[in-house]
Amino acid sequence: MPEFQFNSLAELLNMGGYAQYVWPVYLFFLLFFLVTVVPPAYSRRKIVKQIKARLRREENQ
Amino acid sequence: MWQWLYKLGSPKWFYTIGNRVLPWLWSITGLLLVVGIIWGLGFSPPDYQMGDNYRIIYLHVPAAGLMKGSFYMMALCSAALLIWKIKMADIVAKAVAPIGAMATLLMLVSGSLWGIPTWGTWWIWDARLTSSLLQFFIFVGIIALRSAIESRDSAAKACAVLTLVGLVNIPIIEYSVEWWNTLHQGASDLSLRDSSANPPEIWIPAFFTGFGFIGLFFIGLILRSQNEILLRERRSQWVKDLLLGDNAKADTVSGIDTNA
Repeated sequence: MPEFQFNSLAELLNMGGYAQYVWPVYLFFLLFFLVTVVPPAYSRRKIVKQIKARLRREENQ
Repeated sequence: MWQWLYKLGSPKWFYTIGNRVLPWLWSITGLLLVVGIIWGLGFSPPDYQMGDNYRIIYLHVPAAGLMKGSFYMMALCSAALLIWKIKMADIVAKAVAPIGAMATLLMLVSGSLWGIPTWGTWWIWDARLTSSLLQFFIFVGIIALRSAIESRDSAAKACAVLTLVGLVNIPIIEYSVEWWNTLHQGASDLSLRDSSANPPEIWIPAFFTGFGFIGLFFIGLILRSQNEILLRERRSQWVKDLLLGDNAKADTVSGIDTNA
């Protein structure tokens, strides 16, 4: 089994002195993840709402 | 297999199959990414030269893979559109472009941040880096071209042609580290021996994040394609049934469609 390489949380956050390079990359990945998933989910709601509104309008006519 | 592919060519089928696949894809992708990132950040041994800084690799290499994979997918779709005029292919090509652009940006940013402490510079105009930057502009160019052309069919064709032309850059990126003297290293060999420079405990987490990236890619592809399908098919009967049906759940993100 792989062992945890750091002795404390502070040591993990410090990343052996490379914290200012490693963590921004992982933060940017978080951004990449969100941009891949959130905007399409958001526009899905909008699109469905619009189409539903139009369909209801047409039904009432 | 072919019949399945043929069915995916129908927007309605793509939409329903997408809804069935998404919950599975979400769970597998989430698991792969969480395991890969925790393992890579905390449990892989530090590199003997780069220390903990090399942990950037667990996102940098998958991002580079996604850049290539996205563009192959777009090229395949472009060919399918130009040769067989499959409309679904254009929908997928359009959906993949922003994902590919973002993946390329992640690769460039992670590479730059990796370069500062290891190369002493965040950027250098060498072959690998320059061709990768060009790839980013190709993605952005394709997105811009589509939004600049009003007619949907003309935009689809123009984007397909530009994608196939842009394909020439992929082997240049791939072999840039062999053809030219670059600061960027070539691909490391995966080895099963613990004594090698790249032993399993280093590359196994990259496998997890790598497949996690592929999962994320397909989640984005399905979500964006489904949106485009709804927009293009909004006047068709099946969309009407889907949205006005009693237990229609098309507006949920997870997309568990009990109707399907």
